Amino acid sequence: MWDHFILGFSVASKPINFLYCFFGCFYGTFVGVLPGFGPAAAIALLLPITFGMAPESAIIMLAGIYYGAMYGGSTTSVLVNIPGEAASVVTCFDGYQMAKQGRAGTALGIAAIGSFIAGTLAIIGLSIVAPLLANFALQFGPPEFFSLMVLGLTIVIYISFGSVLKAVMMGCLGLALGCIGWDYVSGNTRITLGLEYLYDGLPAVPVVMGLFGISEVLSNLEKTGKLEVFKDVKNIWPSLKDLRESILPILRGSGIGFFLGLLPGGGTVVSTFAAYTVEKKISKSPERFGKGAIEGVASPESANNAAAQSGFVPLLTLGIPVSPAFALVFAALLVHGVHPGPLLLAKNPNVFWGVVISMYIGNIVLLILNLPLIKMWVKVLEIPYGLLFPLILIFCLIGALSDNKLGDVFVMLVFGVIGYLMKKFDYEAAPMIIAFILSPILELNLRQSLILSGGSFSIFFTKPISLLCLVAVGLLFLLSALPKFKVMRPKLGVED
Amino acid sequence: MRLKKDQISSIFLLFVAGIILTSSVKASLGSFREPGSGFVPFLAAFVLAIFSLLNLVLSSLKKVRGRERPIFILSEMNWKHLIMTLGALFAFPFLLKLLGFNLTVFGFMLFLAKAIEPRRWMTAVLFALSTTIACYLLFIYWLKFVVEKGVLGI
Repeated sequence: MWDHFILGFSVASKPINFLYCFFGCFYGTFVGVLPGFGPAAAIALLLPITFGMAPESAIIMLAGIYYGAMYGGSTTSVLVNIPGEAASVVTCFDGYQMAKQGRAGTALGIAAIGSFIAGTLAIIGLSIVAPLLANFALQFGPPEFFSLMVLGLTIVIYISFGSVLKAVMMGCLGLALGCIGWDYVSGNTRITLGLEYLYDGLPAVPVVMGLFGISEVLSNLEKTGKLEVFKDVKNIWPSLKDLRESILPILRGSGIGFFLGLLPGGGTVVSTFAAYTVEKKISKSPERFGKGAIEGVASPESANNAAAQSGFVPLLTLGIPVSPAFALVFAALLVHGVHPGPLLLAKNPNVFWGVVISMYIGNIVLLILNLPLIKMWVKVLEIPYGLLFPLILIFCLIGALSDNKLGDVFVMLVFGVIGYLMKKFDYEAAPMIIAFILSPILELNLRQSLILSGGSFSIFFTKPISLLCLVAVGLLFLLSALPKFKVMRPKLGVED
Repeated sequence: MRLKKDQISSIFLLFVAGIILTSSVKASLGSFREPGSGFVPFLAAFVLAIFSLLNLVLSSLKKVRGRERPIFILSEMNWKHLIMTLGALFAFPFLLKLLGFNLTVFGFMLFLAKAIEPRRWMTAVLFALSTTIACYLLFIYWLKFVVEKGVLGI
């Protein structure tokens, strides 16, 4: 174990990697602070830049963006009552109320301290759980991987906002879109509509930039009105009483976030709702929740940070991304020739342990960025959207041009319009994008399984792990049909 | 008869599923023993088609109290901003070929800075210029992106 830590430290402490970690955390916090621009779009925007980097440097930076966004998201929730990203929705409930009572600084302070403690605990958990899970996953064959991916997709579908039917439709569309281009098994092309450009398949980065970046800008552009920001941020360091009231919620939030983050599809959003609900249930005075209870900020903020880091466990050890942002990190790993899965720890220990140790460093960086420098982030909220959105668009446009293919720009713009219309017609992009990224691997595992079994689907039901996953899939669909759970579902949702 | 939101989207997705189904069959479905290139996209498009049909039927049967809220409410939205931004976005790749990277980025930023919110010319030009220089330094100079130089070669 110590050898691994030393290896990780030697990777993460390289000046260039430290710089990327710092930049990732800084940019992630910036993105988290900005309402209407999530971590998936932020990662997609910088993905082309990482192609020239060493794999560990690229993932260190992308990871920093993701967990940095979790820190930054709380600022907008507390000061504007608009979540900076989906995982900060719950923080609005009590954070904004605290701001109205003149305690904005305390709310932001406890959110940062809770995020730091949760992040640190989650990294320790990640260091312990990931090697165990990777060892266990060595027993997995194509049927197990196929069923596990189906389970991951089902959970994403189950926790999507709105209709399950629509989420399944988006999942299927994503799967089909992911199949476009060469079939590397037979050497044929499919669904290219005669366009030579599509022979290599739909490029993932422009698709994600379009669905999450361009569409978000288009949606924001049609809105009118200005943000009302609380600028009076003082007393950032919480009092001893505040800390006493918050420490147990922080620890509980960390635990809930870590374990829900491990589940494919669990993600940061569900963990915040779960942590908030638990705190409210066990509180001696639940009536304070929604009116400025500090526990209502401490616990969900801890949960989303723990989940942001434990989400790397299924990604790196099983090759299953739990959210669109992780799907992009997954795509980045593939671009760098690193295959996420049980063998990653053995084949690329520098990537795995380098990223884990960089998270320790990143958490300290984020604490500094989010406590003494909080006023700088308040200023960010004052940047007029009229100047911000052209910058987002130009970064998307140039990012899509990284391969110097004009076709990529058109793909991004078309998916931008599709993403905008999807919002209008109440379809969620998360199931589609995760299915799209997973599609080639899912297809390969399905075909290998069928070849192994001589064309019998029973192979998925005779292997215990695969059977377990498929039973869970069945149960989830059954649950979504029950009226009681139907009522619960719209409260959940997958982050972008 | 006015179509509901879900009816419109279901019909569109049925059409998309139809295209994928046809293309998958053309690419060869193979057999369960040895699935072909079109096997997985066919399965995905088949489920998409069934569910789109189901959504279409369910939305047709569902009674909406009063009139459904329209998808686009022009009086409530900044549709001019939307159209101008979309126009600039789709013009970008064409202008890039013609004018090259630097001029196109400058023109794009100037247009968006000036068109969406009232702003002084000086501020808009300075904003567009600084962004163009920053983009050049970041993408062309540092990251070595290969981009179009346009007819003027700049």
